[in-house]
This record gives sequence, C-alpha cells and structure tokens, in this order.
Amino acid sequence: MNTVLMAEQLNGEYRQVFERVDLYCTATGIATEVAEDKMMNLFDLFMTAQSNGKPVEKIIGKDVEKFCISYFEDYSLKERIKHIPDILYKFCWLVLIFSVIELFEQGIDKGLAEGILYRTDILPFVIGLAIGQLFFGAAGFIVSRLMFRFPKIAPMKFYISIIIMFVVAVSVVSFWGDDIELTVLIPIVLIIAVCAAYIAVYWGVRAYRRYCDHGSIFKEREKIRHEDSEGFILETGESLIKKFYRKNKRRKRRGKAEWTIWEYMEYLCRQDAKEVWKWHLMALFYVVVVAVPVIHTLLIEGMMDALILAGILVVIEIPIYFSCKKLSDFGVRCRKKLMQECQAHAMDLIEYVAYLREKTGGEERGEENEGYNS
Amino acid sequence: MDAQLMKGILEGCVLGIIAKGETYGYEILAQLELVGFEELGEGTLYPVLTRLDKKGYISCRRAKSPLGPVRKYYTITLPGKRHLNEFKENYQKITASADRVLFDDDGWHEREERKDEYCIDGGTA
Repeated sequence: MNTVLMAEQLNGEYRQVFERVDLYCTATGIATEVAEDKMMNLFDLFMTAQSNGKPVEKIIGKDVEKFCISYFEDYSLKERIKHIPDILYKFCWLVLIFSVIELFEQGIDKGLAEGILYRTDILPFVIGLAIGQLFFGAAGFIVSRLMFRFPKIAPMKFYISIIIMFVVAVSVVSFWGDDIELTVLIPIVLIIAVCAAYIAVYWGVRAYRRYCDHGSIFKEREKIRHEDSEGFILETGESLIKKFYRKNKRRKRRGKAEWTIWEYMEYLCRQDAKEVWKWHLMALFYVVVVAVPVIHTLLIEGMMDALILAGILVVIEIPIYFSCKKLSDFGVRCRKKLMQECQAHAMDLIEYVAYLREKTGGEERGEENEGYNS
Repeated sequence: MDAQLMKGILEGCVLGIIAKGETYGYEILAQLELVGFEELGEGTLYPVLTRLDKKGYISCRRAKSPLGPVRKYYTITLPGKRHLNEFKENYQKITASADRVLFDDDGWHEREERKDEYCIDGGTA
C-alpha cells in the first residue's frame, strides 16, 4: 500500500490533510499493519466525501492535530508491545543475511568444517538495532509535536534527517568501536538457525492471520495505478512543460528554430518508442558487466570463487536493472497516458495541464504545502 | 456538545445505526450528522468502531468501494444485538431519572415534602 499514490488521488485540502496524517502516522511509529488499515480507511472516507463535495472540515473537524491524536489514540503502549515481533522479524533478516555472507567468507578462507565452527560477534547488530530504534523514536517524537506548528516539515525531510542521524551514529560507533572490548561471541550456525526459525514461524503466523482475515495467505494488494491519478498526470505534464521551455532556450542559443508544443509532443512520442530498444541494449550491457569479471575470476582464481562472484553480482545487478527498467517503463506509461488525454480532449500539453490544474484545484508542484490549519 | 456526555452514548448510537443494516464509515457519519450529532469526525468514530469490533459486537468485511479503495462494511452480531438492547433499557432508565431531576419541578417539590414527612435528613415528625 502506497500512501503517496493515495494522496495523489485526492485534491486540494483533502490531499494536504491526508499527507499530514500520513506523516504523523509514520512519525509516531505506528506498526505497518495498523497504519495500512487506518490510512486505507481514511482514504476511502476522503474519496467518498470529496466526491460528495463535502469540505474536509466536516469529516475531521477544524483541528488536524486533534484529529490525528484521536484517530490514533487506540494505538496504545500495549499495541506497540504487540508489534515488537515485527521489528524482530526485520532484525532477524538483517542478521541472517550478514551471517550467511560471513559464513561463506569463513568457508572459503578456512574450509567448510572450520567455517561452521566459527563464532561471530552479535553485539554490533544489537547495538545497531537499539540505536536505530532510539533515533527513529526520538525523531518521530520531535516531528509529531512540531509538524502542525511548522507545516514545512514534510515526509522527505523526516526520512532524510533519520538517515543522517543514523549515518552519524554508525560512523561514531565505527570510529570508537575498537575501544569497546565487550563482545558477545555466538556460533554463526546457531545464529543462522535461530534467525531462520524465527522468520519461518513469523511467516507461518502471518499467513494464518491473513487467511483468517481475508481467506488468503497472501497480502491483500490494493492496485492503485499511479499513472491513472490526475495528480500524477498533472505533475508529469508540468515537468514536461518545463523541459519544453528549457529545450527551446537551448535551440534558440544554437540558432535553431524553436519547437511548437505539438512538435515537442511528437518528439516525446518518438523518444518513448526508442526506450524499448534502450533497455534491450542495457540488458546486454548488464550481462557483459557480470560475465567479464566472472570469466576473469574463473581463469585466475578457480571455479568456487567465480561462482561466488557470479552469485554476488547477479544478486546486486538484477534488482538494479529491474528497478531502473520499472522506473523507465513507468515514465513511458505516464507520458503515453498524458498524450492520450491531450488527444482525447483535443488540447495541447500546455492547455491540458492548465485544464487539469483548474480541475484538481492543485497548485504548481515544487511549492511547499501551506498547511491546513497550521 | 459535551464530550463526556457524547462518549457515553456514542457507542450505543453507532451500534443502533449498524443494527439497521450493513453500513460503512462515511454512511455512519452522515447518519449521525442527520440526527443532530454535529462536528463528529472520523477521529471520534473510528475508535468507537474499533472498540465495538474488538468486543465482538460488530463484524467487518472488506470489499472494494465504487470509487476504488478497499472499504470496511460493518454488520451487527448477535452479542451486539443483545448489548444494544441492554443499552436501550439502561438509556431509558437513566434518561427517565435525569428528566425527573432536570425538568420535573413539581415532582421535585413533592419529594421534598415527603422527605420532611418521613423525617429524612434530621427533620422531625
């Protein structure tokens, strides 16, 4: 569930309020399942009220802060404690991945028999977990109290501040870590076994709960097509218009004739057609990037090392390739949708974006939200 | 409206609305507004629905709404119906007593006279 996609389907004040509530929900550390349920509920309510032309005040009252506090008041300390297993689940995954990699390394260096007996220090993970929770909690506490007085506190700033604090903390611990003599050595095989067992039990319980809840062991997925939301089409259109003006400035500087908006739209369609071929070439490039070092390692180091390198490179490169491709495909779909809408309304890009802006009551993106009632 | 007073009766009223037929959050809010519960937002309603669900007085099913988002539809359960009946009885008793205190002036004087007659509060016969 993506609250960003949901927010884009809302207009004006409804969108502002929804985003503030979402930020409050994140800042106060509401567990994912609970947050999803509440935000989906709110989204449905807002969509219905918006379609009935009701002002958002009628739904949430005059004070967004009071609304947030009362809307999440049932998420008590008891509820937070109930979601500790979710935090431990993520922690176990992290520890499992690092432990498996370390076991591999030890196995290669010292052989399998010795590698299995290797004992690793679990303390850095525990400290990392504690620091992460502490920082997130502290940042969330501050943001949830200040966000209604300072409307410029936006989700991205919140996440960036958490990341910065975490990086600083990790750097400090790494710098002074060697002076800390305390270690907790545990057989690596035991760590892997415990983490794997916990993850398996967690999956089992979660599948059972989902089955009881909605008759399927898989998560209920709300398919919101990002490119269908008017908010996002408007954003794409505005971005393309800015690029259009920049392109024409460059063409003018080079002594070329400026494009009309229709010529620019044709140019966009041609570019999108080329995208398909671009990604075929990229796939070839990625194969070469993986194959060359693997072959080199095979020739110099041997089969085992080559296999390990191949495994690591595939694990790293495949998600990068598909993420980039997904983003690119999405961009193409958005532009296609925008061109189709322009054609359907018999408008050029500039006219259609102006029409959408008026329809959604949206302001030009890039401006900070002024803040409803803040 | 007085918040404490609202708190006491809102659960019963919401249950009463759900008892009329399967419904959802926005519809419940609209019904409440129609009967005079103004400025009652989702922030007040949602915790009530959550409490009723946890106590087993209502059941909930998820389905896609006409506008697309997944919506929760609430129905009253058998324990919920029993609780609603109890609430209605208690509500009638309480409001009857409160009415007598707050609005029935003649009845109040009658009771004061009877108090003196029967030597209550240190009065003499």
